[in-house]
Amino acid sequence: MLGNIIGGFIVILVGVTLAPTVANEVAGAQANTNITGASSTILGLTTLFYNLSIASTAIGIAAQGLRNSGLM
Amino acid sequence: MQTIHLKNKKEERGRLIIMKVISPFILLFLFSFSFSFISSLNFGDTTSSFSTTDLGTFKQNTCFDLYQTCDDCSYVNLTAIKYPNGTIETMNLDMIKTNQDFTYNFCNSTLLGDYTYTVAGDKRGVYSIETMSFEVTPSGKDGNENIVFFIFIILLIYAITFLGLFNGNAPVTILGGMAMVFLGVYMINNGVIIYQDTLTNYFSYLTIGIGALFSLSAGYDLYQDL
Repeated sequence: MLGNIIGGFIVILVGVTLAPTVANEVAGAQANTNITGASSTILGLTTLFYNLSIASTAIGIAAQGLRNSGLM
Repeated sequence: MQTIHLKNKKEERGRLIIMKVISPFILLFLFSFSFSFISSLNFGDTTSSFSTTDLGTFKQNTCFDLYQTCDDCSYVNLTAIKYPNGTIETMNLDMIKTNQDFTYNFCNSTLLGDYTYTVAGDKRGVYSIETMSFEVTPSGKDGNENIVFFIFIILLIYAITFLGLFNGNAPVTILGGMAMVFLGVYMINNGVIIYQDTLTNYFSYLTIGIGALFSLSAGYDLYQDL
């Protein structure tokens, strides 16, 4: 359980640090003339899903803490 | 006695698994070093007698300066550019003089491959021409070393993600999946060093998809453990 919490914190730390880089790369890829239409739209969603996965990890750790303390 | 025997057997199995995982990477390292060594060997002059000066490698769809150095020229003109698809564009444009350097800002770098341009000037009062070449790649990099290194990074990220998934290590799988998503976006943006076409784009989408799928499934496992 402690391993999961530590692992989760590392995931959040690395994920949040790299989020702006991912957003920049996605914007750069969308500006690329080779990517148009549906591909460009789906590619734009990458940043959203990336941030959602970080958020879900954070929520998971918080829920785990609350459950351990008996609040949930 | 039996417990010790089982413990030894477990340790041995663990060592075997580690060796199985590590040995391909050791081989890949050796391969990359030998590849770099072989590519650095000089097997004599294999080029044609028509020599050109190489300007280096530039990133696709960017602007950069074509240059020519001439200390006693009053003018230098850019006379023609040969594109990678064989098209020759004839022009007669003045290059901008800065001391002994003449430059021309070139922006039509959409096509990937080798470009050649010809300049003409009055070197020592005599009309003379020179041909220079440069390469355009999706990433602005070239060379076997870069390709091998990039392939190594791709394999490493895939290996970390798959190992995390099959060993049931959710945080490692999420991290690997995130790295795969980033790798996919990076490959869409920059290609695979010198390659960028439909195939590399397809591979990039696949990488993003697998990374996202593995991350989500590992995240779900993390919730299940709660």
